[in-house]
Amino acid sequence: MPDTVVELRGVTKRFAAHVAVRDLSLSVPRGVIYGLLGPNGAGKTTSIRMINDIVKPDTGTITLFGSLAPGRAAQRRIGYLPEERGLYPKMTVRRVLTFLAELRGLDRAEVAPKVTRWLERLELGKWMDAKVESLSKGMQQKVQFIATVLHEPDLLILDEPFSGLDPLNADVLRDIVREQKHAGRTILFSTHLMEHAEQLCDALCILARSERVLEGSLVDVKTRARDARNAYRVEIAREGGAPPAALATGPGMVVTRLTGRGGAFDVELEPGRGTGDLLRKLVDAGEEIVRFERSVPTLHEIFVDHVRRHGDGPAAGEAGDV
Amino acid sequence: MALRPERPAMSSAWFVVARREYTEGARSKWFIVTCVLGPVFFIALIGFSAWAQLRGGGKAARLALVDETHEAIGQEVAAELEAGKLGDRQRFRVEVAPTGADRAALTKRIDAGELDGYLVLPADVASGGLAIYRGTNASSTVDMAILEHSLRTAIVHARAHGLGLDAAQTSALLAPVAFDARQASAGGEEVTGEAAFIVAYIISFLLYMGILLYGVTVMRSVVLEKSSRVMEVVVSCARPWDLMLGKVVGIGMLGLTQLGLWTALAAVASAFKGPLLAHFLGPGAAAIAMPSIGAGQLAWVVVFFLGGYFLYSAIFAAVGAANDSERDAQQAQMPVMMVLIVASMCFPIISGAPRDPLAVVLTTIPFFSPVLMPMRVLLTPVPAWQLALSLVSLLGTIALALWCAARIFRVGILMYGKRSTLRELGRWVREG
Repeated sequence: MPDTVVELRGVTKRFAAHVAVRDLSLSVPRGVIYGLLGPNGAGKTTSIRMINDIVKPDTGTITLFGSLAPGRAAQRRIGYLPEERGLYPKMTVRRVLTFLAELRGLDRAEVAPKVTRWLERLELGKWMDAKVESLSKGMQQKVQFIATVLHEPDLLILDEPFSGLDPLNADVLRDIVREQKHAGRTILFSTHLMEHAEQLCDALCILARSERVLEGSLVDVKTRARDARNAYRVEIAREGGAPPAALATGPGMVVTRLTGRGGAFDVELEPGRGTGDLLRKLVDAGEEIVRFERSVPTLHEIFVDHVRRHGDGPAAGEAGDV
Repeated sequence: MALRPERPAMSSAWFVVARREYTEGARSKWFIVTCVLGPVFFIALIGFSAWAQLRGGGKAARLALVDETHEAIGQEVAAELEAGKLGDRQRFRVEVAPTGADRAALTKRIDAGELDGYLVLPADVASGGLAIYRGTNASSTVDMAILEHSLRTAIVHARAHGLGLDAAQTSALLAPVAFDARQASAGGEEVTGEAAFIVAYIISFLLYMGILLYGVTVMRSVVLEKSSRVMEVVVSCARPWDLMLGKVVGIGMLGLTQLGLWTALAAVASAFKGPLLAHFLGPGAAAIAMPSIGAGQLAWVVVFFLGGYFLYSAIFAAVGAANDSERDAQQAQMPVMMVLIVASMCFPIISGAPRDPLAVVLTTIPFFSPVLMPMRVLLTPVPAWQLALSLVSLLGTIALALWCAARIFRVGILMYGKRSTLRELGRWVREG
């Protein structure tokens, strides 16, 4: 198995009036959970559809599993949960799962025991021969998960997997994703909810306005953001009131934000200054330090920061379902 | 009975799709109901219309006869009328009204329900004068046929008498001509023109219904996949072309299964045709010959039906792809249906003059030939070059339609939320 499962090089996709994805390059290493992050309309769904061979890129190359172009051979090794998802309402659960697995190239005989096992695992065993339309929304979502993993794909692609899920099913899906990762599979998922990404991702790519603005492992991205910000969180023993003189805006430091309760402050230093400068200032002023740490921005903050810098807010011209 | 052919370890996507369409379709209530009710409905329709025609008005019509002739033609007309029977029922009861009776008074009696009609024979009726009938049963073809026949017989007798012929000479003159018109058919067997006409009509109508019903089924299947949002998963494991082809083939097989079932039923029914006809239509009907269709004719019927189905179902698939709700799709399908309806309105042109240049032209137009050519083939031998020309133009159009439909399909299946204009569809075809 090659070490890169999905590789995009200079991929561009244009629809009639606008560019959905511009010159996108990214690589998804094997065995990781990879987050494709971005505001609505950033080009996430279009990128995922190109990997799934649902739309073709105008320029650039996509390589899957080291050597395959998107297409039938690659599709057999992919499990795809689209954002727009549904099942045939009139088919029974067993038949719909069998059909989708057969489309992915499995033989009917080998599908049957897998269907039974998965349905029992997700407590849907007695619904096996019920029609999809008679299931609750939550049960249909579970059937959808099973359809995504039933053929034991090497790569799972989940487009906004948590949107529309109730909290219980969100947990079920999170468990499946983690378990699939431990089984050695690669997971590529898109989301605009940074909390999910932060919980799950090993690596990520942020898209904004059809372009890549950031790519790397979660640890790298956070370290880079931490270093770029030069920010600290300081708590001193104090009754409240005005911030201490030691933290006042001036040469050497900038107080970016004050959280009112007690004496907690977020402080951002000028480039070139460091821990020593801030600590010395506080100690010299005789403040009693309760807590002092280099603050690491959340993924949410990193995301908002990058997307803002790239051009205000969400990209104009929603890519939507195109 | 699901088809379970041997298949390779890894079956093609279109085959998997086709098999799903077939097995799910065969399980649907709709399919089972039409399979059973189709023949029941059809037999009931034929039976009812035959019964209704034979039954006619039920009671004999009461007719007042106003005879203004001097040769007592009225008496003979009355005798002929009272003898005129259908089955074993008398159709007319005649009362002779006084000469010069007031027609307004007779009309009043009709309104009052004492009479069903009156017949006025003018003095010069034998030399071309206009006989007048006014009655409540004037629209009954059976009654009017009996009336006209009685009138003609009486007047011909009167004229013969006027020429000095005696009764024996007259009946010799009027002895029926033995004439037997039959359709020359390639199969060697000859059937009456009327029977060939009826069979050609029924088969063409079935083809028209089949193409329409199953074409619309393809469209609905596409729309359902869009509206239930299962489409994106499916196209992530099958090329749109496989999906479209699988649907068209699967639903086509479903259609053939149904037609095959009905044909088998018809074959069984025709094996017992004699007793059945005798039972429903009386002993005389048992001898009615049904046209048998030659293998060559049948092959052409099947070829053009399949061609028509592929042509129209590809277009219907594109219509389905361009719309994401059943209601929108139903509106958008109207123009396509209109083309087929226009084709069916050409049935009388073909049956009336199947060798006419107009029939040749109509059966060469690819959107019409699937229902019109089978009718022509069943009615008259069609020159090979005309069959070839028609088939080539149909196949060419099918190829073009499949190509355009696949492009519209590929773009359309993932479009949601807005109805697509014709101009957009054109762009999809060009850019697809």
